[in-house]
Amino acid sequence: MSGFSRKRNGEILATFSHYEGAILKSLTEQILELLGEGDAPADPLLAVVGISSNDSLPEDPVLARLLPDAYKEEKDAAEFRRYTEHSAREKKRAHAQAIRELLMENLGDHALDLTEPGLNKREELHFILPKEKAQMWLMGINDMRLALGTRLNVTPDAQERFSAMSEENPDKGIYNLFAWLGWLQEILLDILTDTDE
Amino acid sequence: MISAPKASSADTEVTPSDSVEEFLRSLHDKPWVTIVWDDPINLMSYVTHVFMAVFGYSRDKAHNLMLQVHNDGKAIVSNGTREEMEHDVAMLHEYGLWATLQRMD
Repeated sequence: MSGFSRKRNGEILATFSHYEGAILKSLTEQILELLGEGDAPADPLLAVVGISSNDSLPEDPVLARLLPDAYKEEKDAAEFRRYTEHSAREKKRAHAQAIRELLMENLGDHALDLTEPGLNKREELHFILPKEKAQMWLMGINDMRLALGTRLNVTPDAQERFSAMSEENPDKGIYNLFAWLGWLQEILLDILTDTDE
Repeated sequence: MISAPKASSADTEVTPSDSVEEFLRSLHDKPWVTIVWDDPINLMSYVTHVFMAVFGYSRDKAHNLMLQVHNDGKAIVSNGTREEMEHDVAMLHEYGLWATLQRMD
């Protein structure tokens, strides 16, 4: 069974099929790419202190969801964004990097290439998710859910809507991925909660 | 150049005036709030976890705040100075919650 489990010694064991590992890695790369878009401080001097020239909500709805406004008032929101957006992007990039690096460390690059003809999709991979990286994984998985959920325009009745959808519809596959990530997140949360209390 | 006031006689005793008291009180006031808004993507269990992790709230308090967000569409999750609330909002955004700050109504 893929996902996370807690070993007797308290360590978190991650189990994924090659295919699932490849999907996760590919998602981290898409998130990294997305967060890099439009993150170009106009003034190199301002860049040194982390101030960006961006002061409005990103046009891409996914990016806008990942980097929301901090104020309802436009002027305050713009001011806050100028001083914080760059570091907010960096933090989210770090979540994705943490997931990507651990996958690469444990699996090697070639094993995670979906286009690799020799890829044994069902073969299982096991590795330890170190406790200090678990929060990063939790946040990183959440970023992926926010990205996919926003693309799919997920609403509270999503489950009904998508289960009624034909398997032919590409959105159905994306929804299944979204649901799988939610399930992964829930398991990881359960383990972290047990460990904390 | 001025000399330091002599603090010897009884008439130098300071009695706080109303305006001073008001000023001191305003320093203690925490007129800004952080609001978390409901969204259809974040898991309820995750939101509870975030409130515990960011604010150090008990599981009960975090759970009740999560339910308030879910049922009422929003909840005030912390209050303080503007700088403190900007910090809270940035943390909540890092976790992926939809949060804003504003002056308390």
